[in-house]
Amino acid sequence: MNKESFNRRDFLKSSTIGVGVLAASSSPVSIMAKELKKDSTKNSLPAIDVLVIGSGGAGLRAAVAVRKKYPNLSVVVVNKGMPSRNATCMAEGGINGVIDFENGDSNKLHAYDTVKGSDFLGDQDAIIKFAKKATEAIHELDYAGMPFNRQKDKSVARRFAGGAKYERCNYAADKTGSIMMHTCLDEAITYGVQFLLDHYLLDIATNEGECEGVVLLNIQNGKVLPVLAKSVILATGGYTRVFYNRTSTPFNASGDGIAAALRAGLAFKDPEMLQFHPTGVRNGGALITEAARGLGGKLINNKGERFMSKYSTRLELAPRDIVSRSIETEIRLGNGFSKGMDAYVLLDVTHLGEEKIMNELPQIRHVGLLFEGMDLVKEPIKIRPTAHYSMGGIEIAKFDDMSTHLAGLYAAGETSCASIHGANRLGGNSLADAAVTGKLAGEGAGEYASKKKNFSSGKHAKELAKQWRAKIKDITNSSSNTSEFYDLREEFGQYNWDNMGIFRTGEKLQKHIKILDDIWAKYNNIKIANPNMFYNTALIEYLEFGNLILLARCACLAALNRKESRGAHTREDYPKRDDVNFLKHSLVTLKDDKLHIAYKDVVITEFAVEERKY
Amino acid sequence: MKIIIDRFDGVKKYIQAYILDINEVKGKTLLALLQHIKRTQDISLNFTSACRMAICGACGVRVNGHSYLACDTKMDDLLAEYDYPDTFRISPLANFKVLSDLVVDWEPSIENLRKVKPTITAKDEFSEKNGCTQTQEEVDTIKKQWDCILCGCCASECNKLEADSSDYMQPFVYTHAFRAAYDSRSKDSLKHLKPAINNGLWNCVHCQECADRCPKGISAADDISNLRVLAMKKGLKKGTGPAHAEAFLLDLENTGRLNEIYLALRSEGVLANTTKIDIAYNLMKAGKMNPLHIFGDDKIEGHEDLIKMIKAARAANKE
Amino acid sequence: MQEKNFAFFPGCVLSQAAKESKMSLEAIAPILGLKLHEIKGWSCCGASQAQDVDPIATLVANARNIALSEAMNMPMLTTCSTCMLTLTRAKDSLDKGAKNRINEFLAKGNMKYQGSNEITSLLWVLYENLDTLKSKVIKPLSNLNVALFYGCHSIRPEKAYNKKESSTNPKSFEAVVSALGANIVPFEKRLDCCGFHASYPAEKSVKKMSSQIVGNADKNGADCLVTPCPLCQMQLDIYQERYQDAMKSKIRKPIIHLSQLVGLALGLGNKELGLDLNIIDATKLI
Repeated sequence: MNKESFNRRDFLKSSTIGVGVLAASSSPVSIMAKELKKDSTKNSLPAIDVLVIGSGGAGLRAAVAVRKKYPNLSVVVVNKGMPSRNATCMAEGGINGVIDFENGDSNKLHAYDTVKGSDFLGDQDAIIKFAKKATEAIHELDYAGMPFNRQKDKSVARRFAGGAKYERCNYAADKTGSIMMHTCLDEAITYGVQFLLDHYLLDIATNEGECEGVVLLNIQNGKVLPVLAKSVILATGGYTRVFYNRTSTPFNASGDGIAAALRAGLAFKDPEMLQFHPTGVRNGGALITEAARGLGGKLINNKGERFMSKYSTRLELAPRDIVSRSIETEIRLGNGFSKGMDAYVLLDVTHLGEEKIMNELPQIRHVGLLFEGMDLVKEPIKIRPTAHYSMGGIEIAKFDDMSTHLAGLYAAGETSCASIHGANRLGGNSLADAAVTGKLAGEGAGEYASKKKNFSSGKHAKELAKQWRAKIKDITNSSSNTSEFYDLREEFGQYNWDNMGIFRTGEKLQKHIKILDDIWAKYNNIKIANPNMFYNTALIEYLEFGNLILLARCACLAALNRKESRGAHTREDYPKRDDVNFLKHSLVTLKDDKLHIAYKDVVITEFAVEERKY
Repeated sequence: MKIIIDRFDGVKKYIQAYILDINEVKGKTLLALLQHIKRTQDISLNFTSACRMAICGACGVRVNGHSYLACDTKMDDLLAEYDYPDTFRISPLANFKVLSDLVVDWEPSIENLRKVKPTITAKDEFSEKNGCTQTQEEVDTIKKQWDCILCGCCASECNKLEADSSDYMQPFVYTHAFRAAYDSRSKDSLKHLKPAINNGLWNCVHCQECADRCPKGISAADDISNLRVLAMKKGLKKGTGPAHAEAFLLDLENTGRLNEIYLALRSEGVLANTTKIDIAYNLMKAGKMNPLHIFGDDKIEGHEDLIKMIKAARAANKE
Repeated sequence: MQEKNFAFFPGCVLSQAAKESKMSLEAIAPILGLKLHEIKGWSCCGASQAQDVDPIATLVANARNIALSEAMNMPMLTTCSTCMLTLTRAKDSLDKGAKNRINEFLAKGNMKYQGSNEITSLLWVLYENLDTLKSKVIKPLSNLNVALFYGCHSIRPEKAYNKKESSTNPKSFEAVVSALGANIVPFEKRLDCCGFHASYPAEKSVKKMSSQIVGNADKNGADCLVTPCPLCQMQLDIYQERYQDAMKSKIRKPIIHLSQLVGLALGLGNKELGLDLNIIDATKLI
């Protein structure tokens, strides 16, 4: 007889009686009820101290920054779906920020590379601060649990990124953006940030030169909801979906925040500055990362030529804008395959062999199989440049707190334009931008909210909400042709690509202004044949499309008026940079549905303007 | 080909069939197929998507009762998987509240994530100003779990959640707890471990659906298992789950086999509950339970060696 | 079928609680040309339970189990799905790098894991030899309506089994039972979980899970449920009265082992197949 087992069994005997010992409630908490508490002193509208619109890297960093510095403030992050569906998570390469100062690198050099990369359209005061804050952001993210890859000395691993002189692109495998965004999301969750899921930003409400809140559409039930806030942070991402079928960004990158800010009277800065990445899959523009070329991938035209030899001594490894232009030139010369939006050239990595491809480019092979049904181990894959990033955004008044020219309104990340990227963003600076400007905006908006005693009246918000209710009812109360709206969106994307894509001319842009006006007129007559207001995704797509048209009109106007070539903006009729007339930012504003353009000088402090050569 | 979709218009549930030519199906991803149906046949069909590159997690749906990330699933593969059927059935993820058609509610999931406090508290030697240090090997222990994109595919077919979600969480929540608890920079794994224990850690039924359905190849089941290992190590052994698991190990050490202790465990539980004496009686009557075995069994051949091996492994593991 | 030798790993439950599984297996094996040699000194695989307490100890135990079978120079065969999964996963982690380290510990008992043999299950052996099976059927079960319950660890995770079979649309079980001539009823719960492994901590849920499986089989007109996994069989059979009472269901269904069903088609009797040992009466199936 075994005494030990006997005792154990005795124990088991007694312990098996109580079942369900681990019972715990997992019932959902209603955020609407809990966090959007009514402002009892005023108009019984939901009221929040700091409202963040958008939940990519920038929005989440902002929300966390508020909670950390002002723990007594309520912070709600609004998103049109679940928080993690954003463009930040698609970033692969890394996040810039100098953490190794031993080998000659410095914040100043990071700033210089960024200024040069921007083709000197970046504001140097902001960029110098940005570079310093980028270093801080890497350590903060590390401290918050972001699992960076590591060097032998246990420090964060870094590598080269395009246009950088030193290895300062810190990375977590080839999914830095996803890992950074989830680090920020985890932090927001842990620090008590509340989330308002499935709410769409319709407009920003103002009151006597101050932001009083926003008007949201509750996607779940179709109700239009005015919400008061002491301060609002816009972090809704970029607008590269203007090139609808040729962009690497997510479907929801429709620039809702920028469009709302325009309608609220704010300026859209440098809207013409849209970055193109040379290698997107032909079918839809999903990204094929630079690593494919870095490892020796060749670009081939329909004559079987490795055509990059005609354009650059560095062949496929020339900077992004040069490679993009070269591919488009080939297509225009008739050296591409297929036609129109389907045109493409080939990227060939077959010579690398299966083993190398499987080990070093598995993701890219997967993308090829997914979108083209092509195995790049066996055959070259169809590619074409794809719209990748919006340098332009809401004009920022002050980099230190990312405030806009509307009191109480802040912006961060791709939505904002503090002119860090100027006319061209460097690889690795987008995540740095989100992390740095997100935190600054959070602290700025937090301070503003902490000082503001009362919520505004909400008069304008209620008025706007009323207008939106009528408008939405009108839009959805019909039975028009289903495909009409999607067809128009495709058309819109193609026109934008053809007329204000990689190559621009005054003639094409002039024509395009008219085309966009026509599309805008057509759009306003389209109705959505779905009156059901429970999660009406067609309505959301329709509203997003409206924003995209507005933003494309701004971009086109600014592109037409910028009679030079700088960074991502290439004017064939003005092939040179013109620092005499255009060392300045475009500022587009909206008044009575008419666009106006103005200019503002670029801030130059430390670095003299010079030719951009690599 | 017929695509049957489970619809919900906010008030009533119904199914709707869409007829497509096989050439409209072939060569597309599942997400592209849904978009195609929305654009060409029914603008009212609702689903969510964003990145279409398998990294944002927005487009989890079920096909024929199994969850897939729509953007990452080729229709050609599904056709082959299901023997070229003439019909597919597409439904929203299971074990989520359906908001509309294929759209589900994520709010309860976020609240569950909140329970396990997914962010680490870094050790005192680290600072926000200078960051942390970590070896690549230490990163590698949690790397896989950081691939989680919150798509919900693991939760959809979770058998435990389906039976009762009041004492269990979505498998990915445990994955989040794991990656925080096992992070070498973390000062306090209990911060994440305890809420995991208090919210169903031992209730996993080992069905392996989560591991099977994860489009990123993560096994939440393994993460749950490793959290349990940590709980045992930390002495958090309250409850029948830990006792049950420990009994297996102790039997391995005592005799090498469970023999019918398996059963004895149960029968003892049964006998303790006087109303269930019938089961033990049935088993004894069927000759499948020998009440005498309650006092232990013979050791397996080579048992001594087995113990030596285990002891050596444990000693080496402690080093 | 040419006579095939297997190093037989019964697993703990086959000795007593599911002894009818072993009886029936030993009854059908010679007819099908399967020669089972029980591994001497095999130990418990940990049942995916001990793994949650001491993963290294269980890995060592399973390395030892596999090494024992390697010494016999035969493929390893088990009928228990959980044994199958834990052994397969142990083999996988040994082959993918743990081998040398674990062999240091096995050396304490003068043993060595080589990674030289294959682990298979009764279901797969039958599936791979359908023609032989068909040729031995003397009593086709055409009057028997059966619901086929795979059991989680027979098929999941798919990648643990090197994608040998689709976990969303598996076919082996259906193919084997079709060969026996039985009538397979539609069964929505065929890939679900019986809950066995959490029957203690999550008793309430598990009762519901088991009950739904039996209820669903009944709804679809099954005379009985068949499963290749002895743990599922135990869970669904031994506790059936209990969970059905708890769920206020009057439905009772015999739950039989795959080996018992095969035995019936091969013309063996209730006694030889241990059908009289099943708790829910399974003696009147044919």
